[in-house]
Amino acid sequence: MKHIPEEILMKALELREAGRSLEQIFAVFPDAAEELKQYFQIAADLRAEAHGIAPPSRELLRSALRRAEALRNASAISAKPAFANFFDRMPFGLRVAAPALAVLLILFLANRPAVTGPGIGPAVNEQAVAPEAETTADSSIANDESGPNVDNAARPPAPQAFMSKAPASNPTPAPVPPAAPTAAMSAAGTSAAAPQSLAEATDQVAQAYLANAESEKNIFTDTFAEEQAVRSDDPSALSSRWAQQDNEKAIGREEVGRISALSFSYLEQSLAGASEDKRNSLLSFRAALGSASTQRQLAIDIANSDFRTAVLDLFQDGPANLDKFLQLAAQHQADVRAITSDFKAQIGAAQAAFKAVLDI
Amino acid sequence: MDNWQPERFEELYERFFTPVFRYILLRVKNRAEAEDLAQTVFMKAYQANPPGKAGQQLSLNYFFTIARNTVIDHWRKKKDLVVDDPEAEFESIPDTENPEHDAMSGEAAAAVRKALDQVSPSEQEVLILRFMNELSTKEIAKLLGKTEVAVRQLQSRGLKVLRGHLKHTDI
Repeated sequence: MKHIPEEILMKALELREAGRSLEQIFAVFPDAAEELKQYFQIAADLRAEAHGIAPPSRELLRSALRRAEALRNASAISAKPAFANFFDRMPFGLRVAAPALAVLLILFLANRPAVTGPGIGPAVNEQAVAPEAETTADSSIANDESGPNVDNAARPPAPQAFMSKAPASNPTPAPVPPAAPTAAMSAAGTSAAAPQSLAEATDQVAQAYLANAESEKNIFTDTFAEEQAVRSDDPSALSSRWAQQDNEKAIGREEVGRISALSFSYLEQSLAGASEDKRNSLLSFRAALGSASTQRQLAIDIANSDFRTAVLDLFQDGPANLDKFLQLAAQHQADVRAITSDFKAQIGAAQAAFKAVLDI
Repeated sequence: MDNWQPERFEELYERFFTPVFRYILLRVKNRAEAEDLAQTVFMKAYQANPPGKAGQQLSLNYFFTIARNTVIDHWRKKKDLVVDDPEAEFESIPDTENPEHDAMSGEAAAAVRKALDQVSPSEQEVLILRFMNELSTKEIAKLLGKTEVAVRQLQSRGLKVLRGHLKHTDI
């Protein structure tokens, strides 16, 4: 039995990983082609075996997310004892000075010119608010809506804040605000002004979510690059195209986080002295948006991952099959549209429910 | 990925749960255990990096590192309970809960899995990470603390053993 030297197999594996086709590799090592073919077949079998493993069910992912959320809440609640221990370990001088510094800091913050409170002046204060809101959003990343920000996590939240978290979807039927295609791209891509009223802040945050969903739908239903790759039987351009898509997606999600932070900051301050019902409805609104957004993002990412894997599989054995690709693309587009549509309904319902409580 | 932030928990789950789960499943060969262990990995990561604390770089490699250690701990505990019998271990592999796949792959899949048990643990791990989890050689090298050449060597040796075994079993 003939055995190729290990160096050749290693080099062939390296070339394959670098993106060379089997034919190119066989051309480099013509004498070893037959045996290399067997090794690559084994590698393909391993890959197929892995792809055959059913991924964890979505229910498991959802339960993991719930556990994560519970853990996060528990962590926020347990922040006080941890701080107390830390405080006890501080040098005596610092222990005395720390409360004084804290009071000074609070006084300083309280005496700063109005920042995000209701009734702020438009032009000047927008300038003052935007960068700060941006910093907040950056530090708490795009998924800001799905949980408390760092500042919130550091202090124990009021118990009712957790008790009153709304379920993921609100059964109240409500009209879904249409997202115009042009608005979809612009709202997710441009900076938002500080809202001037409760209604404006509510619409702004809902519109940001909707616009981003619409934008992602447009990005991921565009399968032109994949079709070109299949038609030319050349998958080499796919990775850069997908990286570009993912980059656009990340920018959009970050922008939603930024707008969300700005709007919710306004809503929180505006409702600080309002009735408990209204404050709880804000928590529910935020939780509903965060939950719906997380589910949509997860669903979109899974759909993309499945589609991309299926497209790559088309190139595995011989020329890619165009008919099969067109079927895959159609199914993928339908999935993305359905996910987006469900999401819009959830956001619309949450928005309507919140507005109903506030009577705006 | 920067430092651990609580807001990123969902995002991290979305991005890394499936690859971590697949890796663990291929190592422990039991779906229920793999699901538990995969969740344990994320809980450990969270506990090791509480919110607000400057954390690790929470990359896929970071989660794979925890997953490796979790699997090793799992084996250690299991070894205390049962005799370490490779054949018994193989027999306990459940199928993939994917009837279509089972029907299609049949003997070939079983042969590949069985052959995978014949390679050394290091080679097996590299083959799983490279071909089944589709990590790059560079990522695997970083994860295992080896050079890329060493990883490629393990790959090629593992493939040679697999080929020999599959030829031997005439699949």
